[in-house]
Amino acid sequence: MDDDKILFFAGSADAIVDELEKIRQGSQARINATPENVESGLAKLVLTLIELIRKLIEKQAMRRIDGNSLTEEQIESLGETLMKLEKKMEELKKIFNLTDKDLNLDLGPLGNLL
Amino acid sequence: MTTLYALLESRLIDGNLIALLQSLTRESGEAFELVTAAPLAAIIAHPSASSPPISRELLLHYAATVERLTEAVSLLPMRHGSTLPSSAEVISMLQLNAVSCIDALKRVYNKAEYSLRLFASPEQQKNAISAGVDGDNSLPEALQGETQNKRYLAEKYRVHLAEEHHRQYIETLKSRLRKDLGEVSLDIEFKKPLPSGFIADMVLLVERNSKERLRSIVKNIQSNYPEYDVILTGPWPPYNFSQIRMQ
Repeated sequence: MDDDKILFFAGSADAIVDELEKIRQGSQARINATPENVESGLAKLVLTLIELIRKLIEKQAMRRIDGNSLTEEQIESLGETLMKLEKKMEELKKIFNLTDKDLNLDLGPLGNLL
Repeated sequence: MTTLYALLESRLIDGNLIALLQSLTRESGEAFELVTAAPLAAIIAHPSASSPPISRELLLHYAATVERLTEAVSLLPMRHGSTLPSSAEVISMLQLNAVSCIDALKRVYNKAEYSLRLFASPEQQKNAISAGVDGDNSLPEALQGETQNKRYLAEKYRVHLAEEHHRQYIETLKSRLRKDLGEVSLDIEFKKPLPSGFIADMVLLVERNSKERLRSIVKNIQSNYPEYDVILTGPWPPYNFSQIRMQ
């Protein structure tokens, strides 16, 4: 960018360059499916979608807690269900050798899925 | 093939614009010309037979040309890759889309686009949010208790609270910025998603003669938000305010 286009900036360019470098590295993450790794590529896609649904369920649960609409019994049951769901996800990630970082999709201008 | 660079009102065509097109033709080897279908006109170019393949340089050249045109006259900038088979097709397009083009041109008339971003490291953002939101951090009564399930839910609830505070903080910040900038810009669009490290990313449409006023307002914003680095760039062609529904 031409210097004359920067009308105001009093900060440090280094910090911004660092953050932009992180974005650049993040944007290189793609589902790279080939005949040899198609299974793990598919697992990554499916687990990402399951993780999205799990997080939505979690969010909805927090809203219900906020709304104070759950009984003691329902609270206990909710906690147990969410905990088991999270454990199951951890197991599946281990089976397919995936980390939390892998479970995301770059949706271009819309940003990341998670 | 005809490359489209910009659309404008035909009444704004003058000697300066024609001289600029002649100059661009000499410099680039592309034949720039104006086609009119009153009340609209389009700035087009016919690429030379040996047009280079698409490249970064080509994109930058296209953007720089649109910028030079924008400095000369109020227009709707096109994006690289806007092409039609012939000048006759350009005229048909102008006739078909006259109403929406005129509306969009009125919006950007005598105005320029600026970009304003507030930057902070994730750590700085966290501190600013915890200092700037008067949220209740206490757990709801339903989560008070020592069972494993409740402890698990309480942990999740704390994360949920932090996210809610973050959202609330950004909404308040946006509304303050809108108020601060409202003096020079009624057209403000906040961009989503926010790139990492940025807590606000917006584009503003500002009168061409209000550049210094905008700069001074942004200086005040920087004083009001010392925890962030405020970056103002421009003027740019009004790309973000030129949406037209093409038929």
